Amino acid sequence: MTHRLLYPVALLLALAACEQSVSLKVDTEIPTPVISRMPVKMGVFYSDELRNYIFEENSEDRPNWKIESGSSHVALFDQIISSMFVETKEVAGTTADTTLDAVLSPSVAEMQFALPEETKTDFYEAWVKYNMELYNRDGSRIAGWSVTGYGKSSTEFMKSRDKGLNAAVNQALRDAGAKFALGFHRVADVGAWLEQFDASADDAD
Amino acid sequence: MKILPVITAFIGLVLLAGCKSTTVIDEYREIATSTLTSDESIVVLGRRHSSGYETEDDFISCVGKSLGQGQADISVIPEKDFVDSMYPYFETSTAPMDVKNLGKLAQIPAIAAKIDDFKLRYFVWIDGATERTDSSGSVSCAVGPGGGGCFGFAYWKDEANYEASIWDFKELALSGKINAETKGTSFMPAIIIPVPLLARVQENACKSLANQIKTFFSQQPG
Repeated sequence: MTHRLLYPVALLLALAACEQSVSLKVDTEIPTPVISRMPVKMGVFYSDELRNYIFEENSEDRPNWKIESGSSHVALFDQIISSMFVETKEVAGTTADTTLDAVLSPSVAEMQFALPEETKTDFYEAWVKYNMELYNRDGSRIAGWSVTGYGKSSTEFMKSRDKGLNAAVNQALRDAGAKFALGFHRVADVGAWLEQFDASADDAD
Repeated sequence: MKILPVITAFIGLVLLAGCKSTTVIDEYREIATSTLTSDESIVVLGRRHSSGYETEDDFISCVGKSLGQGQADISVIPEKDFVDSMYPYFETSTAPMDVKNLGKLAQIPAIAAKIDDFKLRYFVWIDGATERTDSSGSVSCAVGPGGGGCFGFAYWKDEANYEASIWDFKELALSGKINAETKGTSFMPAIIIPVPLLARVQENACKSLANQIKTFFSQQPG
């Protein structure tokens, strides 16, 4: 009798395992960057769109996909930006107060995901593209550029889809953070704007 | 009753003939031996820039652990600890691809200080993967009110191919390269119970590569 009761339970478990929906809140871990701080007082503005960013898809192949990553984007830029500049401050808009030199405003342009069964590979993959905007203290735009990040995580025995996707997103965010930190001064308009601070630092010396 | 000896003989034959793996090691040395004092350490890092494969985390950790065991007890910095502490310079997309670029990186005071803290002498970069090259057969399992069981036979062939590049941080030069290629076939006969007879291709590639890397270093007191 006990055996007979187990069959429907096993069937339900098997059906649940086949469920294609995804509901995930990304958990990110970004190390403290080892970079020299620039002599700039930088404000950072996180829009509500960034703070509450959710990737949603409801298609035949991806029914009820919901991946929340807003807090991870904020955590990423908090960690990176605070290591890049001598002083950082979160602000409520892109117009800087007089105590700051400029305001950075990151936004998520796009996120993409790929599953092993879709790509016929052994990897969960994630892409993130940020639009970065840098504003002067008077609110005028200094520069705008894109930063992309890519991450992949291998399929392993007993590794769940959520865990695989989370690891891939984590890698993509790390990658984007690394490219942003190392590439900031290489953006032509940013490099030109930064020259004034190098000069003032030289004058101070 | 007569089937039991047949099954036993069959499994015995499979055990004898199969689940073996063979490893071929190729080595290139830029210099005869590389010195490593007892207070110096090495780091084993995986290359993960290829789109088609990824050097497995567990392989890197296996090589690191194997290097730290035995008579030639080498101090190995765990990969994650190293990459995290060097962020953002050793990410997949930002890590130096050759010794020349490592030299440029070493000119950054914060990086040089971190490497000095680790007492790091050698970088061992491992690039490669273990792949399933063939598989065949099938095992079917069934469960009924009276019990369950499996029947069938399956086999699969795995191939591991890894290359280790050893960089000397002190000399900022390539010390050498080691290539390990391991092939093996695993079997799974199933008569009521599946009996996996695994070739452990990745594990054997790891041990062989680690043993060969150890021969690279002549250890000296610190």
